[in-house]
Amino acid sequence: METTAQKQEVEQGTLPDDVVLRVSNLKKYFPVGKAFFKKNQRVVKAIDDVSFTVNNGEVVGLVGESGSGKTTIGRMIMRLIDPTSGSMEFGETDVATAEGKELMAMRKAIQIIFQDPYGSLNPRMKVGPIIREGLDVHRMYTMAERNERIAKLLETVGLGASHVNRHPHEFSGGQRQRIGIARALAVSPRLLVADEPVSALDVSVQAQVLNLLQDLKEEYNFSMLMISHDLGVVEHACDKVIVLYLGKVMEMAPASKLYSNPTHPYTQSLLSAMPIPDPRRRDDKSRIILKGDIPSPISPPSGCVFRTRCPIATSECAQVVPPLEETSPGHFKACIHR
Amino acid sequence: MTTTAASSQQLPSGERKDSQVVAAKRSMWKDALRSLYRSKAAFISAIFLLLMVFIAFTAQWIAPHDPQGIDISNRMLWPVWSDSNSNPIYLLGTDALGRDILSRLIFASQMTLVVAISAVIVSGLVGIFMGLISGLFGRWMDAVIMRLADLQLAFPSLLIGLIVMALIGSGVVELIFVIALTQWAYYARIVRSEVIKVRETEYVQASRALGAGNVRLIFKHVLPNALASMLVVASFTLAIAIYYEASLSFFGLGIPPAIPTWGNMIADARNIMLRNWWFAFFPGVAITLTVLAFNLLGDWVRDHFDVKAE
Repeated sequence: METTAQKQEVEQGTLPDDVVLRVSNLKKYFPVGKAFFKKNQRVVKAIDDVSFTVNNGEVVGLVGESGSGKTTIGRMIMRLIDPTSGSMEFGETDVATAEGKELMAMRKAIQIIFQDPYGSLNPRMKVGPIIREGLDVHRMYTMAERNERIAKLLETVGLGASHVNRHPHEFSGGQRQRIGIARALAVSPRLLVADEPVSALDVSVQAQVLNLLQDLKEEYNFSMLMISHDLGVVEHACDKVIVLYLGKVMEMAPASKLYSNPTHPYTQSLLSAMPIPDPRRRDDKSRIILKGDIPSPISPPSGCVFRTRCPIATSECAQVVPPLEETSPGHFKACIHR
Repeated sequence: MTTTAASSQQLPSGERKDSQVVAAKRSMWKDALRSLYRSKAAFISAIFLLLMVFIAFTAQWIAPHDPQGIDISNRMLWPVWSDSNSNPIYLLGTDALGRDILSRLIFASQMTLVVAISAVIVSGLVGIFMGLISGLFGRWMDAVIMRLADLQLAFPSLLIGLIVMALIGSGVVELIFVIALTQWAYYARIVRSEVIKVRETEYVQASRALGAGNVRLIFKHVLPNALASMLVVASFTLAIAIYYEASLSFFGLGIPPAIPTWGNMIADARNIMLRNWWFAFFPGVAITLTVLAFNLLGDWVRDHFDVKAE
């Protein structure tokens, strides 16, 4: 891979002050089936050499189709699964290898909100204990202060302090997502991983929850990694966008640049597939329709992984793995043609 | 939203919240009681079992005679309502040694309850422990424990009971051990499946992301979710324990014959049952009704807590 801005940062070793999280050459290979000899083991390259940074106060969007590996990256940053190789520097800690006290400190500082507002809350626990869990685990505040904090958090996310004794099933999807947000914020994280935070919600509620996250970001002062397949959501919420395809970064750019001037054919086709709420532009010919599904990650295409569905692919694309190159400041793409 | 925010500001003190917690808990039990009342079979069963517990606790005061008291001149008396050979002070008649059947029945309920409840507690604890190990640590531990459970479930459990009792000898503790040995697998399976089910849920992922350890996961997420299923199994295990105690005692392998239990009473009646039917009939009725009551109550627990039969 050619020298890129990330690569240079890796070689510098220490994390700059304004960087919250630096992910370098992250890989996750899942074994498929069982093999007697290790060398015969087939693997799925769910994440293959992904590097990016999240700066202080920044919202980074991670977009891609299902199967592109965006959730896997989120789970690795949460250390819910271990990476195969690569590093995730967070302050002094490498998330990939943290143990004991370091791991606990990291768990307090990185929090997650999940996609499914139904599966993410224990149906047998009341709202109070759900939000309280992190405070209990990390022994934060006194008992009375914990109750106060829970009440305050509930009000901040737009619920009432009187809701502590309700069970999750008494709430709507949007309200449950707010409870999930309150649980994550209880421990005052510096980085919030939002894994499809609004895709399970009604469209009318999506904007409310996104705006809430935006407001809370100011108040609680955290950075955010927002995982989503919805480009509209990402455009609305993110400062920087990373486009993933089959576990590889296709394009990475500030949101404004990416939406106004997409370089990679994959990004272009994704953006052209966004619904336009304007019937006069419905027959716009510029729409690029991708053929077929994302290929199986067990046997990904040679060279550029996107070439099988790429409208501008040539025979050369099967030969070379396109490096992630910086075309203009902060704008990276992995394509040999553009 | 504004109204809830306003009302919430009126409860700054912790006391009010605590009282709300208590109220919510109380209403849960109230709900359960109301549902129990509506279900006729379960309600009658519950009353019957409460009555049995009461009898067991007050046996020494309510039993009309000493259960071991031998009255040779009044041997093999018929129950009072039969016109032939009976004595009104022996309500349900006497056995071959002239011991009062009613008093023996009453005292036997003590041993029955002790054995049944202890067996449920022991098998429950062992089963939960095995299930947790199996579900949490997986791999070869899981394989070993689950194959053991399969083995136990594939064997006729009364046969296991007979063999083990013959090997280790009879006695109350041994009997409890044997019943636990034949029942733990049900709990282990429930807990294991609950661990595996809950482990993958997002709320456990969230809990792990918050830094929760295994102990917290077990007590906050796994066991509360498994509780309803375990209650159902517990109610059936109670019934099975009573039935086993009776069966093993009948074979002379359970509780030592000197202690009155329903099984021992039937065992004593073996030789003369055909002529003096009441020797075996009354303990038999007691066993049947108690087992039936536990089963009916178990059905209700399953329906009320909406547990799918496993």
